[in-house]
Amino acid sequence: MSVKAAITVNRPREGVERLWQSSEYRPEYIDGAEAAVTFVDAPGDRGTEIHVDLDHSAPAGKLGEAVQKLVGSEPRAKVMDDLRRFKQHVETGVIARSEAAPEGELAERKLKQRPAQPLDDSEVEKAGV
Amino acid sequence: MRATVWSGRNTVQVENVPDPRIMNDRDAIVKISSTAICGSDLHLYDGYIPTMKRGDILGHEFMGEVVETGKGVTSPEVGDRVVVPFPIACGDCWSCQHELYSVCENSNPNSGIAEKMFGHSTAGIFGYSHITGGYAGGQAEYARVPYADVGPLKIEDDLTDEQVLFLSDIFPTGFFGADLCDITDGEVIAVFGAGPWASSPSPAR
Repeated sequence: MSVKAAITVNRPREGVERLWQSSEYRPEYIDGAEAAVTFVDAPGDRGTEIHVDLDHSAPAGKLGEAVQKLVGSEPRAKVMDDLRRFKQHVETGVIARSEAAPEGELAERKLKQRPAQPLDDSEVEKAGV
Repeated sequence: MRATVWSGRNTVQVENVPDPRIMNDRDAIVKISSTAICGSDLHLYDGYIPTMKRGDILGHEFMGEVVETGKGVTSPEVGDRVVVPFPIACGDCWSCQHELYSVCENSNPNSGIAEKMFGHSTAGIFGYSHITGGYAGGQAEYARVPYADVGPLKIEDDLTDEQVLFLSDIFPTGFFGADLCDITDGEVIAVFGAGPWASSPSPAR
């Protein structure tokens, strides 16, 4: 099954490709998943499009896919997490964190959100903030 | 600190919650001096907005004094008096650079949820359900403000809180609506949804 995802980063292509290769920015899931990643100039002044094509066979076929969707570990969601976090890191210098999702955008967090109130001391360490 | 939290449909209560802390280099912590209730808070209260969770701190119209800043924030500084706008904008994405702050592409860490529901995410918003990020809101003693160098508006004169608090939401929201309609001097217009701002003698003037 082919998983396709894409994002647009507001930076010129050469810089984006360079950062993608660097250890500080390289996305973990996409890197470990043997995906085809292409960088394309976005139209006009929009920057760079990053296209990811992941050839993925779900363990246990259709049932496996359904379970993955339920627990939030569906491959496309994880690819999008990586792409969004890369874009945030490159464009703003930080990963967007909320009180409900202190680790930033994570597929696994979608069904298990914290309440939207500040973390206490024990939670701060766990969230890696 | 004390904060107003959502506790189910038609139920809000004031509870003790932890104080906010810096989570990112571009954050600031604001000690809140004034905070307002918006008409749109009623949708949360009445249970019409999905993805609310018990314990969510409400409130997206607030102002106060900056008491702490992250390493990456040079302005505002500790001690500055600021009004905080309700959409959270990074300032660096294409949308922010074209002044489309309400669809900032980076500030919603739950953009996956919003995209599934609407096709595209909004910016993150303070205290307005997990679809907009699940950020703690401003009906509290303190709030954590992300991208503090972008949103917060410094108040450098002796205007009272009551005179400037509505810069957080209803004044720019009403003004934006009028601006989108290209209203010019002397026109006769109809205003639908005459809430507190629309009923006052501006923004069309």
